[in-house]
Amino acid sequence: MENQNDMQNAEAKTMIEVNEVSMHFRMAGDRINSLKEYIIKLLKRKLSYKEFVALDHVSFEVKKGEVVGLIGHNGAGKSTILKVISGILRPTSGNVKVRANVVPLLELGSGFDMEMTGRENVFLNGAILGYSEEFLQEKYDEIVAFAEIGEFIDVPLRNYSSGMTARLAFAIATVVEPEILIVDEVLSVGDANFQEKSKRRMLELMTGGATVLFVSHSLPQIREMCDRVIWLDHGKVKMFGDAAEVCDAYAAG
Amino acid sequence: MDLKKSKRLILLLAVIYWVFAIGIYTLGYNQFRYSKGMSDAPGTTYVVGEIVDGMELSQTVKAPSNVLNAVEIFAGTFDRTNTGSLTLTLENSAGQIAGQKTVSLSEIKNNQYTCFAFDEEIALSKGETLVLRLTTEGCSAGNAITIYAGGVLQGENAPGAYALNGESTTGTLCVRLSGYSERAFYQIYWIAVVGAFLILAAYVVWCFRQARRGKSNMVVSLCTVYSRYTFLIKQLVSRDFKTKYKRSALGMAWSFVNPLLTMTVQYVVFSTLFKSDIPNYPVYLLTGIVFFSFFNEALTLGMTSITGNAALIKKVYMPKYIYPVSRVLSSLINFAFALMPLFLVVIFTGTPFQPAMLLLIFDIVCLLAFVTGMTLLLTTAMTFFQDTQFLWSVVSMMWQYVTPVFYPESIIPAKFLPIYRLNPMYQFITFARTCIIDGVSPGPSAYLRCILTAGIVLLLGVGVFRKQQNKFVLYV
Repeated sequence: MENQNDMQNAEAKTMIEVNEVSMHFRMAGDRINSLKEYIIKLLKRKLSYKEFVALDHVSFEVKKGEVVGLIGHNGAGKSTILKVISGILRPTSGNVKVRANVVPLLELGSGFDMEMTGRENVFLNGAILGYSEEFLQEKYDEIVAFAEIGEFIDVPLRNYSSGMTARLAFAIATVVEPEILIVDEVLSVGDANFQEKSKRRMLELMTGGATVLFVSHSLPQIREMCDRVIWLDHGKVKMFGDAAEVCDAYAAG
Repeated sequence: MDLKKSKRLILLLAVIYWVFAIGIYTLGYNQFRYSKGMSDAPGTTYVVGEIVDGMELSQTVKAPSNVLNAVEIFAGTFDRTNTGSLTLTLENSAGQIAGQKTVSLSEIKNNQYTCFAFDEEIALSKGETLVLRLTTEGCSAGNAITIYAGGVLQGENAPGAYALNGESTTGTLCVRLSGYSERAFYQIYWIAVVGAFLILAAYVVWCFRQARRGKSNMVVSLCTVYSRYTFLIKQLVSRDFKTKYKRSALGMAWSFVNPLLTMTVQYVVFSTLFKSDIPNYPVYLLTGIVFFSFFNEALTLGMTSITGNAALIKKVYMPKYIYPVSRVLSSLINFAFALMPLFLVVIFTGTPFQPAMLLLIFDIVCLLAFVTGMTLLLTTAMTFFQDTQFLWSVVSMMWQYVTPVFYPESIIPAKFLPIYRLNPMYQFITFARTCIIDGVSPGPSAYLRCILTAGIVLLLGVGVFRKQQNKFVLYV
């Protein structure tokens, strides 16, 4: 209810502001990563790059409490715009203003160290995600309980099954109640039982008053959860508006 | 940026600054105020023969400093106890007697320099030509000493040929005058300290003003990293440390066994070559090894910090400085462990502990700044050109050979010395050796060189890294 009130209020605070963002990549084949190659190419005057435009003057705003979906075919620039907003990529031109701490749920457990125990990894991964020490100490039991790791918590991660690693990563990443949540596909990990649990937790986070930016290939999920939807096509915003309208247009096109 | 934490950081840095300023002044007072001087003497090649009553040896010497307090003579006693006395008379350029000293021959040691202090310090001016006359009383053949001499030295401040009973010869006596001059530096020390403090304070204030207008700069990013990412850095450093020796039986002990083993091997290999030239060779060698391996380890580990963490960089945002800096800090902890065997060897060789050893902290802070700057530079290069690491392995080997780690500086030809001494690692290692082996503070120029090298390299490293860091994610 609160979300909708916010929505109706035109004065609602803008949380994410994307202004004319363009992102150009140099094509992978032309990338030079040795000094020798660089000098040879420089001498041959062949230092030219093919550019690939991943985002082309993309602009939009997301207001506080909104759930905004991103749709588009593969390679349309959905993940790129999420990375730009998270600060991982610096746009070639344009700028992004984000008015709160962003928690990106892009890839889980990327900071895990296989040689360290589960306990040590909770703190390491938590620190990488930007959590404070006090917060982690307070939530530590909750994380371990949610991940259903039990006594394995003091065993090095290399002895974990892949399911256990994924559960721990998920538990650490979702323990926060973020103001801005960035989600690349709804993550569900582990066995059937845990999949159900993790999906519930995701939905809980997304409907819990946070501002959400959400990429999915599942149109029903988008229709169900999002207030507004952005349709990206070849790096350009093709359509931005009410969820149902954009989804209908996308399904038709 | 957390303003409260940033203020605390700035305050802490200011306090550290003043602790250093006062500490260095206290420990280095003598070296800041006075510079030692000693006149040149030739190598000992022959003896002048027994000096008996009625003989007079006179030697011209250039005053090595403004105040003279002692004279040293390389004499031979023919390995017997002689009676009688030797009178040393020092005349200034106007021909007046500036100082005189009579010593009993029994005090003179055989085949080495014996030092005699003048009863009163002699004030004159540096570079003045003095004449030292030597006469004896109560000496005859079979009861006399002799003095060593060598060829006449070249150079502006070299002593001239000696004269026997007024007749000039072709040699120079092995006698040295020693004393000190007062430096102007200690008078401007506090002006320099306060001035630098005011400039830094003004810069910090200016940076905070800029930050309020939304412009980022070095000071502000430092504060942000400190207030938001200390926990992360702590975690990364402890990760490096925990995983380094995870599956080794000796574990952490390697951090101090390693330098000891390296020292033992190099000691066995090089001690016969250089031992006689270097006093306290074990400490000399281990200081060099420990300091140089910190430099080498930090750079080797640090330069791959961006390429090695590619997976993380593509997925999570954090200031890129954190990767190389955390590696440098891990190496610093290893370095701290490696200092322990160094101090064990210091105790074992009976080197006395002096307060000047505290100055090592200053040296290490400068070295840390230098290493951080170098790491940032090399990390940037490494991220764009992956062959930097192969190039570096060659360069670091060369670097070790141009640094006096295991050999004495004296084997370098004098004409190359000015270039040789530009090497920053030379500065840091020599500084450390002066503090540990000699137990005194180095002269003021050593401090200036350390601060300048560290500061310039650090600023350069931070500047280049800052400018390029946003491109890293596209290259890893």
